[in-house]
Amino acid sequence: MNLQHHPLSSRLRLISLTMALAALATSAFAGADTAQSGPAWMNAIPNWAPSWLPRLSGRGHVVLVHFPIALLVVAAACEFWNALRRRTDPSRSGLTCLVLGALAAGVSAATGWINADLEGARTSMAETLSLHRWVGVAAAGASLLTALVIAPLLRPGGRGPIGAYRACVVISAALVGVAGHFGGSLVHGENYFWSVIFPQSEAPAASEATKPAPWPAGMATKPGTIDFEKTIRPIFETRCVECHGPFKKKGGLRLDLRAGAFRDPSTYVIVPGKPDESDLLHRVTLPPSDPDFMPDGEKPLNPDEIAALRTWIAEGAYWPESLTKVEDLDAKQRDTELRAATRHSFEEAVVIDRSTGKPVPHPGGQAMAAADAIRAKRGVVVDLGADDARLSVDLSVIAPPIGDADLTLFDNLRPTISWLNLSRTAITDTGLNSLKGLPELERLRLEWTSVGDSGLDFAPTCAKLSSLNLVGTKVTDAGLAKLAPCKSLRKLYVWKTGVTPDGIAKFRAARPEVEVVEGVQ
Amino acid sequence: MSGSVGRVHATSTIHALATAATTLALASGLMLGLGLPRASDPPPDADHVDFNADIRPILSNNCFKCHGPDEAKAEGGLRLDTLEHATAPTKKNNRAIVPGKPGESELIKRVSSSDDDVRMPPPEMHKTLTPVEVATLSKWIEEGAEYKLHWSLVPPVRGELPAVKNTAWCRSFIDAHVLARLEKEGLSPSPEADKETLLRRVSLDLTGLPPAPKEIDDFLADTSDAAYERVVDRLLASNAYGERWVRLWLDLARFADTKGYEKDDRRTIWPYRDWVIRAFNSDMPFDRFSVAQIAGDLLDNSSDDDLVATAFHRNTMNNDEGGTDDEEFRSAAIVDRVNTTMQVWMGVTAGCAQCHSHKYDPVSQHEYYGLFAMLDQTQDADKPDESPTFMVGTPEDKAKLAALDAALRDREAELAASVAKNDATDAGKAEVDRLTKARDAARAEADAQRAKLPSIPIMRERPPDQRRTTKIHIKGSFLNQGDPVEPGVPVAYGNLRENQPRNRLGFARWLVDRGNPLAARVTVNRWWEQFFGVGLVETVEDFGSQAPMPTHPALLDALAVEFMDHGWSMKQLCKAIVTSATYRQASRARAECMERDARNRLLWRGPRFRLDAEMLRDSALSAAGLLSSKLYGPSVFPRQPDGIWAMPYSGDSWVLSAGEDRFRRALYTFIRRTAPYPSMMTFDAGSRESCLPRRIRTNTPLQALTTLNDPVFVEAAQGLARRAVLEGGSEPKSRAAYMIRLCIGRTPRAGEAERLLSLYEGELAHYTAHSDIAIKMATDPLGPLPDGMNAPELAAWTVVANVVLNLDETLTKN
Amino acid sequence: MNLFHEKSHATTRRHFLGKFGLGALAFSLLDGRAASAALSGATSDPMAPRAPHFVPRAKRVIYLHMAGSPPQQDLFDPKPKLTELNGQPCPDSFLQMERFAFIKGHPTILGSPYKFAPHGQAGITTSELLPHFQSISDEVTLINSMFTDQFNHAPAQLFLYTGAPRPERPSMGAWATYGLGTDNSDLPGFVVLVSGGRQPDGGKATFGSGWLPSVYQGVQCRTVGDPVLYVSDPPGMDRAGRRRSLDALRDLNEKQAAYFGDDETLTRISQYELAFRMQVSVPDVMDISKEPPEVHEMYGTAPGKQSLANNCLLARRLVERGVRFVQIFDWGWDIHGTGPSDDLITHLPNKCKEMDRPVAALIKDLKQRGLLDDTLVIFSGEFGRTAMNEARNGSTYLGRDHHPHCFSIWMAGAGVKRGYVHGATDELGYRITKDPVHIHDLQATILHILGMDHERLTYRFQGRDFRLTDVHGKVVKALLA
Repeated sequence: MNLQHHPLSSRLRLISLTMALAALATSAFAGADTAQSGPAWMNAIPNWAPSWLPRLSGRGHVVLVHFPIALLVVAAACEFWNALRRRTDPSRSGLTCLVLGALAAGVSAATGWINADLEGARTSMAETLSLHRWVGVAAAGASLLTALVIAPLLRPGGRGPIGAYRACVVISAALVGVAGHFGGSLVHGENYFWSVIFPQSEAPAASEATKPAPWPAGMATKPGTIDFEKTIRPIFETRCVECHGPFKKKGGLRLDLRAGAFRDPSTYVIVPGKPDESDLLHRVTLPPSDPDFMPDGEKPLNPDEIAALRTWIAEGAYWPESLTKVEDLDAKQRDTELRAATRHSFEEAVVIDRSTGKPVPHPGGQAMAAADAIRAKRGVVVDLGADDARLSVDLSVIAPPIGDADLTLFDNLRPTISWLNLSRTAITDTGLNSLKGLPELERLRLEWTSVGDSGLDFAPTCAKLSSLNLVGTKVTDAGLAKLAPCKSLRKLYVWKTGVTPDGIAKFRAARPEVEVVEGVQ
Repeated sequence: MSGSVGRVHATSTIHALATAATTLALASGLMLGLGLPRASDPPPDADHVDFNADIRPILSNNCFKCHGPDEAKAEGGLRLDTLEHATAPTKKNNRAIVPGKPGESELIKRVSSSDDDVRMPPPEMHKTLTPVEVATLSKWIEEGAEYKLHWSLVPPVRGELPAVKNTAWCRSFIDAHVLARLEKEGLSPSPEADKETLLRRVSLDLTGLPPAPKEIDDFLADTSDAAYERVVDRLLASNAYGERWVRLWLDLARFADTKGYEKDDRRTIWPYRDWVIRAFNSDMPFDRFSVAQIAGDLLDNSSDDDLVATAFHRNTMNNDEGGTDDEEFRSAAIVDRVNTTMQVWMGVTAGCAQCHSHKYDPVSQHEYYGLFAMLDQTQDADKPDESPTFMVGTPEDKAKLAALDAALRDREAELAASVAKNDATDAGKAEVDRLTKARDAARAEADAQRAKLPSIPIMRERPPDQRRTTKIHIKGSFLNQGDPVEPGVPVAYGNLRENQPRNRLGFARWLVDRGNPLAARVTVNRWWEQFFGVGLVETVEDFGSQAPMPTHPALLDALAVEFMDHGWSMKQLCKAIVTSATYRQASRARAECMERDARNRLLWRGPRFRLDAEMLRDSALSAAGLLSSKLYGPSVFPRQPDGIWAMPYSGDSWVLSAGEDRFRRALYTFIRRTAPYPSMMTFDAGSRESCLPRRIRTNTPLQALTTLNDPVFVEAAQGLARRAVLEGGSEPKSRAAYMIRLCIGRTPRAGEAERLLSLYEGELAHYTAHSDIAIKMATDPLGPLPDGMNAPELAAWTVVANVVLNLDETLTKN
Repeated sequence: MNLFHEKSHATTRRHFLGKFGLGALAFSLLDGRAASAALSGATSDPMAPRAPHFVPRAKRVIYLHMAGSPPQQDLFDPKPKLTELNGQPCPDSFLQMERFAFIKGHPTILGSPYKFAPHGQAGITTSELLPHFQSISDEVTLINSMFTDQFNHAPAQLFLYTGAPRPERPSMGAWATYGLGTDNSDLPGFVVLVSGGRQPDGGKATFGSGWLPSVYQGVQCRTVGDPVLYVSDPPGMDRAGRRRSLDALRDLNEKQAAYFGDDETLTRISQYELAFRMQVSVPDVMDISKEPPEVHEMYGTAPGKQSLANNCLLARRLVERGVRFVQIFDWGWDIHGTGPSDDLITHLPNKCKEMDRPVAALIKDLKQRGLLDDTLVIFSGEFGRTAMNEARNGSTYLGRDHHPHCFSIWMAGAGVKRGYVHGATDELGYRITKDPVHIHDLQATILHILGMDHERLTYRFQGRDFRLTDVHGKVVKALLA
């Protein structure tokens, strides 16, 4: 059968051919790019194209796909019918459907590719997406091949490769169907289709998240002193899962699932009972500059978190089954959890942070003890913010005023003290030595103390010190000079000190970016 | 094929074809699927997820704000408050809930997603379901997603008494319910409190006053089984009973002696307060009590008392500030009346429906304005004269006033006639002068009589030809009115009865109709809270879907039914509670129970909590022998520091009352809304600007300063000291013991009297050496030393009394 | 609240509840606010310091409220056009759909009788009535585009402080202490100072706790009489005597605590001890007589008097000692022109004299002491005033009626820009033409500066999570430094 004998106008033929080629080219170009760094084809979009175009055309995929599915299935059905009737000519309507369907399949594949790149992260079913992608491309390829290569070879009266043509049509239809099925799963959830027939296999049991995981070798079977759900999981959730979770799975590691964390024992990510052999602990304790440091590009875990992880691993890294299923909980635990979650119970067992819905993590015991000791004296220890574990410490409100000896109070808080108020206390220059090397100290108030020049040696050792209040102290120009090397310093209060206008002028010359505040007229 | 496209979802059809499954297989698969037994059989009852206990709180807390009863909101076309809505396909063609199939339910997908774009509630709500909550929802859907009517919408029924093991402990149905729960939790009740503790507890609860020494002696001497009940009956019969319970009602009624807002001028409305005291003391049935207050003026043959009762809703604030729009504040008053009524009788936070349909409970905005329309027909309109008013007084007094007014009119007529008749001659002038004086005298006499007859604001319906058309206030703004609304009630709580008028009277009767699921429950719960410190439903102000479940649902229902069956008798309700074994338990903590239930929600011990502001003051004055027993009348002005009343645009000042009025019970204290009595505010009383359903108890240093140093409490300490010296025997130790007896109603425990004694001896030495300050300590501000007493001794006893009045046990109902 | 996870501390949470008897409301407090931070709030005190939602810009607030509302046209927002049109009937468009408190008929334009000039490096233009303000104008963010919903004093003040025009809800200071607690446990966390001889029009609800537990209500400190009510021991009792009696009280209460096993008793014992300390610390902080003469000179203070100047100095002393929120009300700014006591010519300059020096002194003093680094100062009335002369009942005095559509406020200190003017009004100062800031936006911004998200600072009452900003409010980012 010659194409010319068919009622396809030459103009239509031209258009369809051009579109097909364009679609193929797009698929090929898109397919060529598998780099992780994001779709390279984005760079090829001309500047005049509106920015919403890719996303819109991507989303168009969802509409477009229905055309090839319907058309190719009809084409297959027509050929099937002709075959049953033992006709040797291809069905005319079937061919029309095939050509149109193949073109639609090409465009669908291209838009689908765009869509997957732009919005693929929205689904947790990465494997299904991948299958859908490649089967879809195969379907488009097969149908285009059939329509543009095999069909023109057909000749009237059964001459030409009619058998191959029919096989290809059916294969195309089948491929597009399978691709469609995976697409449906992406939209409607895994087993959307099969669950109608086999309801017992439905989610969530079948989803990856709740697959019963093997009990990893060496893992403790009972909880230790660290409560996984309350202490460890929040660390993973807040610090790790963004990259090691359902979406990114960097290095194949997932820290949201037990099965994901212990998937491959050869990686030594978590070696139950052996914190020092566990790569996880090794990496979080590296200096941030180390290429292996985790969390990559983020601020380090705080010491309490690290301590908790260490203890947890040392105690066998007990990782209970996911709580997603009520049945997984033993009766008592379930009862408690249910009460905590749903009833204003008289017996609250879990503190859930309402803003995140997660249990509140627990800082290290020594830091807690230090904070409690300060509070017992009615001093203030409080996180800078609920989202920031650095501390604001105020010892100025303690009566009678504290002295140098009391500064040991915050020894165990040193790594995180950021704002410190020692104003009006009885501390002296000697006491200030204990401020040496406070890594996070930003704001320090020393006003109305008897501090003098010799006490200020600590200042350059506090790399982040940005505001220093020396109002009413004995500091003089000599002390001021000691502050010149404080790189982060931006505000300095020297009213009612021994500092002279000359000294200030010199300091300002050396450090013009520091605002030096004297008495205000 | 086209047929299946029509029947089944388009997309699923395509998937079906695409996977080459035949239509037949699909159809049979569907049928098989429906016919197949569920994968897991329903678990035993104990593990059953209960909608009201487990599911509603989750949905209500996290979802209803956008997917609740407010049909205008219903984000994405989804409502989750009924099964019908929750299972219907949404705009996106998802089904939030597919009963039996959590995996197909969009709800589960959304709440468990970790993707911010997909997850519900959305990130800006700052709420995330916990894994346990998700699991609970999941299980509920798996079990069939059964919705139940919220428990508070089902009228209470008296269920079967639960079986208990320790039947000997139970004195009443209350105890059976309480004990059943305790036994279920493996806890046991506490033994009965000792007689002294019990007497003080029940005296404070029923009369707001500690027992007098003689009452303690009598009770200890009466060893018969009926001794306690006799005490209860005596207390319920005393006038002090009404004076104690009126406090609760005045908080709800937002009773105050001023109008509120900026000017906050005085308002005469104390006869309403006295009406409530009398209603309590005469044990007026609660339904009658309710109808009188909401619609007393609409009753057939309504009495003067019925009219006074309607002042309940005239306690709303009145804005006399220059330049205000009367209609705006009239409208605000109606809103307050709707909210207060629903709050007091229904425990429903209807105020939410003022701007939009309620997010959690079944009150649509339309229904809200139906209630508004019920109350919108009264004559009052935020006028400075507070009209309409009603003159309160005996018929004789009123007749006398009428006669005086008539006389005044006569004098005025005579004067007018004389002015018209007489020219400017001296004689004429003299005649006019004489008549003017006579007129003035008559006026003065009439005014004097009128002053004895207070006129109070009341409710009056507008005449039928002046009915207002109530319209919905769009977004709650009275300036932006929408469609007109007919009077009506929120139907979820039951309809108005056919034969009832659609006005305040119908509304009032609807509230206390036996079919109303809430009024009795809410009321018994309020009363329960007064006795036990926490209601069976902790949120006494909210019985809606945001409220926690009752700790003892069956007990709440049984009490409510009993209450109604006993003719809504408030005294019977009190008696049922205070005679129960539950109430009579000792209140000491037991370690094993504290571990399980530190807040005593399960009632394993008797109640123990700090006294109310009013009770604290009354108890101190009572122990000191200073408390006046005078009943009723205008509000009084006890000691208050200077400067509290400095308000803009008001020259009004606090003038200390004379004589015993300084020592009246706290409820008679003048309440100015913008500057309430400070010591009572410190102890958590409200400013009475709006309905206060629950006082939150706090424990602050300012309270300590008040009971230590407030001149009222210093005066009480001086009175207590004098009383101990006069009545407490001659030995210092017996005087110390007597103070404890007066304040805590018991004999001292080991070491207590001794510790007070050592304080006394030290102070005596101190004041003997400093007699100049001794006289101040002993007399300022109470007054000169009684004959025969010496200053250092009395000063030392005053310090001791100050300590006893500040003992934790004195401040606490034990 | 993390402590509660540990078995060894399993009772701590119950301890908290028992102690304060706040019941389920305490839960909402825990869950709504304090349960988030790692090292915060592990204590039994509702006033204990708690971490804000995020790192704050300011730790403390001083709110200077000029009750009655000063006229923005005569102080901060110069309108030469008004002077040009002085005495002419106002445009008809001013009267359409408008409600006035007192103006009747067709009023005339009232130009400001006062001269304006730019000052400081930033060149903020202010009135000659504020000579001292000129010296601090480089420290402030001036907002000329505030607006409100209310045009009567009491509702407008309540709206500003509670987010609702009728008394019921907690005030801003109560929200701040509910959210953050207080740093100095020997002083109240939320202090109110009143001058001008009167309470604010909105009454105690402007600094009340609404339905929050009453520990969060503002404590009014007075400069006459007891600085805090009942802080003085009774006549005839000295400190040693109070100590002896409290020792006896403690001994007896400890016996009773042991007998009943009630944590509430232990709390009560500690509250008596705190009260004892407050008896010293409050009079001490309130005693300004010990301040050196140059300080009195700077503020214009006179010890023992009730004045805005004294209150400004007290505000500095209070924030210096860690008080979270200081609310100052100064009454007498209601410039209607009904007589010499509220006239634009005779009265306003006097009020400005009383206010200008101490307020400027407060900013300078905070600055030189380094306190402006973590203290936010706000200066406002409750609404604006009209461009027209009120002429109530034909009064020949000059004055302006209430005007909700635009007014000026300023802020200084931690978190806000320095020498910056935000927003603008039309040439007659009648409506906003640029960057309007609503009361709810101001509230959201203040909470933001304190480190709190106004949408997350909630309290469950009657089944609903309430906020200071109701369901509105946006943080005005442009104001932030």
